Amino acid sequence: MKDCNNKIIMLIDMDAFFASCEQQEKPFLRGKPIAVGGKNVVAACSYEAKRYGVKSGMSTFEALKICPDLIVVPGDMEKYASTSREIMRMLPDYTPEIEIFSIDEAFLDITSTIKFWNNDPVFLAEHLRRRIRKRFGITASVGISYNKLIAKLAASMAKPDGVKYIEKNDTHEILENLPVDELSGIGRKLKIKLNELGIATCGELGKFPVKILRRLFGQYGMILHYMAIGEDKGEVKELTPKNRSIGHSRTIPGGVKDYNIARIYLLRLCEMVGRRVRKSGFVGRTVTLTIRYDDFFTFSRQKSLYDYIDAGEDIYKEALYLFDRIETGKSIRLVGISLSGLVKASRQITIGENTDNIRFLHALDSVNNRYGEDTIKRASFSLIDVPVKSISNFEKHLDLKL
Amino acid sequence: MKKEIKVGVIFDRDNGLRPVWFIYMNNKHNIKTITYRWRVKKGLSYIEHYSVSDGQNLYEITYDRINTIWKLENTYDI
Repeated sequence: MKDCNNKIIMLIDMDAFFASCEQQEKPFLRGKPIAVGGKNVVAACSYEAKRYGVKSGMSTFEALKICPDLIVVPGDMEKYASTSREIMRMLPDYTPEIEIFSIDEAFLDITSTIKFWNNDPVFLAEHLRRRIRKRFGITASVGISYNKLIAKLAASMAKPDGVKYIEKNDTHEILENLPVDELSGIGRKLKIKLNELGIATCGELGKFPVKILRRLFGQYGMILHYMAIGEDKGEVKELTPKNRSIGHSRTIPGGVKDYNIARIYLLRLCEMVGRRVRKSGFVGRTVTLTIRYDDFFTFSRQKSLYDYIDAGEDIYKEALYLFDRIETGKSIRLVGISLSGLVKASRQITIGENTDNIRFLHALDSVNNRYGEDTIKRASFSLIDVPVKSISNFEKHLDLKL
Repeated sequence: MKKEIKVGVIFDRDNGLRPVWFIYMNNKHNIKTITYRWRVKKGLSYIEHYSVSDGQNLYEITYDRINTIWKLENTYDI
């Protein structure tokens, strides 16, 4: 393994990404508090809105209460995904070691390539930021350090529209009085638990007896200790098919109590997932069903199979198995399905396999690939809204107007 | 909205297609600024989206590469 202490890791993080895209596209929104979202929830907001206390995940009602001038803009995931793809395509110009962390963040390991940039990471960061601003008119912040954890911390400290380089020698001083929830991976609930132990800062967490942390949090207690002292051995790695999944989800307008309707949405989603899996040349063996009720309670159920599958109806069969075991009676506002445990498909027809079905799927895929999604679709889909947005394991799952 | 429109375009090596004017409801709109552009996959090809301003209003126009059709998708008062 490489010497972790001599690495140079960079995190590029777009500033208020969705809101920035909207404000750049629509100049009349610039300088104003805007929230990207739907009727119910704020998916993202501009810095102008953040000054009022508006936050992602907040209900739109609550956001409008604290910021009456807030302009709510419907989201457009295709626009953000397209922008994200173009930005991510710039990154190999700086290093081949890239990990796309989310739709608006990526880690770059520039240890071996920094020599081509005057050995100056800030110079490299500014070059990339200028390119993004020139192409899109939006800003990104960059954090640079010796590992991913501190690079992410540096990026959050650099926001908005800045660059921060934290060297190893400076880490102790920065972490000493830093609130624990400033570290990536420590959320609100964990912060409350740590506060109950008398731990408010990273300095206190780093000094807290490791044995007690392990007793309370298991193996994660050890990780917490290392995080508090600025240690992170995680490498920048490209996502491989094994740790990837392909999925789709859909918010059902108004929610639905008739589970037969929910099943039609589920079938639709399963067919979409099947198509994308086949198009990618993979097969998978773990089906995950995600359900959100009207009260926002969200959960997932999973089933791993012996055989690999890629046909929508096979995915649906497993999804239905999981769906029919959930609590009934509550209104469902979102269904999602994903297939994971992906491996490259090498389809060989075995004796007894339904070759007609395989040929049918290939024909269906050919038509829909050429002329667009839904050129041929099941008749039952006319009962429901058709367009859905996809999730992959780096896109945020959002409740957006579609 | 989605009205088919006629568009004058410059083919720019660095920036790809650059719309410079379009005709909508018999009025010619000269494009002063392209505020944003993005592309969305459709079948084997792409739909190119442009947000453009004539100095008075903002318009979203799209180009379907397969069918070679330009459309006006949205208008906004600035």
